[in-house]
Amino acid sequence: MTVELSVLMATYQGDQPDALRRSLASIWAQQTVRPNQVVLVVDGPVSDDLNEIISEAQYSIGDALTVVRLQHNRGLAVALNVGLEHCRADIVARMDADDVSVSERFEKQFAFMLKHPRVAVLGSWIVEVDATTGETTPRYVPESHRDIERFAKWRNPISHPSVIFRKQPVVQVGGYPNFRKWQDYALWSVLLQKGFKFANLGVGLVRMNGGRSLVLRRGLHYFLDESRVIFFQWHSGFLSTPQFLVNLIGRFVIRAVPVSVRALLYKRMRN
Amino acid sequence: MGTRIAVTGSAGYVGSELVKRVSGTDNFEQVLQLDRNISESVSTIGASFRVDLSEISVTDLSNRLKDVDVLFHLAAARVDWGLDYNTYERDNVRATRRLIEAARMAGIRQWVYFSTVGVYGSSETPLDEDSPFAPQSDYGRTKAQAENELLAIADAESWAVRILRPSAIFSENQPKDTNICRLIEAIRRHRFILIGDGSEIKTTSYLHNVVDATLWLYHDLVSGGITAYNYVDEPRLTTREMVDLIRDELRVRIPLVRLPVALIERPARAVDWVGNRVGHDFPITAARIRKFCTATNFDSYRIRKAGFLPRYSSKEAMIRTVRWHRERIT
Repeated sequence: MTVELSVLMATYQGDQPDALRRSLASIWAQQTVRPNQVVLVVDGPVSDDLNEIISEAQYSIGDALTVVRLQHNRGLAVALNVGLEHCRADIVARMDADDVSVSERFEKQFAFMLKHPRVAVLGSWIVEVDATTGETTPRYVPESHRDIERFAKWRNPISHPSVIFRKQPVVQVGGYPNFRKWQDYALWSVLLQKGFKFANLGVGLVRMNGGRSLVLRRGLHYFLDESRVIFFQWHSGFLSTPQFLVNLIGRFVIRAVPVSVRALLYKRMRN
Repeated sequence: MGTRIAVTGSAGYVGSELVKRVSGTDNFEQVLQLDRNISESVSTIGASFRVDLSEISVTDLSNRLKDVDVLFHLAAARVDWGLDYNTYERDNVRATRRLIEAARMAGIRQWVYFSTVGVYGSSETPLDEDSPFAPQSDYGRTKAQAENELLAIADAESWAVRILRPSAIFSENQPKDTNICRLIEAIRRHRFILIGDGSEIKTTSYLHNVVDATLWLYHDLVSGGITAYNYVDEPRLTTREMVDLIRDELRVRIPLVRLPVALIERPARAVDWVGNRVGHDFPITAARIRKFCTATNFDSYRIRKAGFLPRYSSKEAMIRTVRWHRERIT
């Protein structure tokens, strides 16, 4: 069955070709309910391997695949905003080029959006799969709007790879703010401030390659990227000054501590 | 929701993986397993019956299949050695015939049927689904006959049927008698000799892509009618490319030994002769050498054009499989 749904993806030179193939297969051939459009933004020049997979996908997905090529690498926020302009459906599902959607993802999320017309943004839990051990760890997020709103003051309440949203409100607030990291978190805070309704489904609908690599991210540039978003949220009034300070210090600590400590912190934060 | 399915050959190589996959989702109300090598059990999601399709009476079989909506027919005699024509005929033709009768009595009108590219025979140029049947082995001949019988009845009764014709299936955990398993193990043990120049294309099908395709066909049943699809992994590799990939992944450094075909044909026939006398399956047989040196080149554009997109490329599938072989030993 096909539904009025656009899937929004972006890929760039750094993506693994095999991962992109799996990602595309998971939102198309394997879905119990199929989107009627897949928008794939190619962010800058990419290797022959990636291009080969894109043409394979064009063959299988046919006219439902819209490939948008950017001449230069512009970053995820710009790529997604350009892609959003090409989305024909009112409901848009995000998909990352290195994740896999479970086969009932669109069926479940689309049904929820139809049933709850006031919900603008819907996420779900995601399942992190450790590349080496195959171990899976669910990443929980709160489900009700009230809990999401409260949670959002401290952490990103929506797992970006799992999100499905209504196009109109996102376009209305100008799309993704142009940050290098956390552009989605910035967008959610703007939408929450405008009073749009959020929800999360309490099931894991996306499998994500995670494990150690996420924990390994440390260093000043991560902190700076994150603090830009925290500044933005404070400046726009989404965060109060005390919340802003706690977040800023918290992120600094997380990015500065040794890897082993951070692994522990991540574990605590998840549960 | 709430479809009830039955899987024949559910304890087999592909069948068991399919059952694992369908049991992991909540799309099916009931999964019935039929196999002659299975212990009987009943669970909340379904039951398994120890059944030999070529022996059970049609009435018994149709009773077991009562309330089933979709039949996945995977049971078959598959190995390429040690079986005589009668065994293939019994397990592939007669078993299917009984299943068709039983399905008719039980009112099942939707089938996903596992066939093989073996129904076409070999070819240098890629063969698509419209190519005529010209099987060259007993396996291929009996599978072609079973498929034809199913198609005749499906057409007369207006059943919805999807037929999948995969080429050589392989994966991690593969049975020892698959061609790819033999190839990898021979290379790993430094017992591999490349016969000929290896320039012929050998299409393969990764198990997980095949199971995905099977489920895709199942979802496609709603549009009715009868359609057959080939399945092969892309990009299609030549024997040489496959061998190089395996050697690379196994880090085999010794030089590749190559022999012209003519030199090996006669000794192999002698080995066959001995093998037949003592009843032992030697790794080298004249038939396997012939099979090794003929291109098995099939085209699966139809299923791709219809929207199926495999998760794994041929190369990634091969690398994953070889890694499994490597890790199993060290």
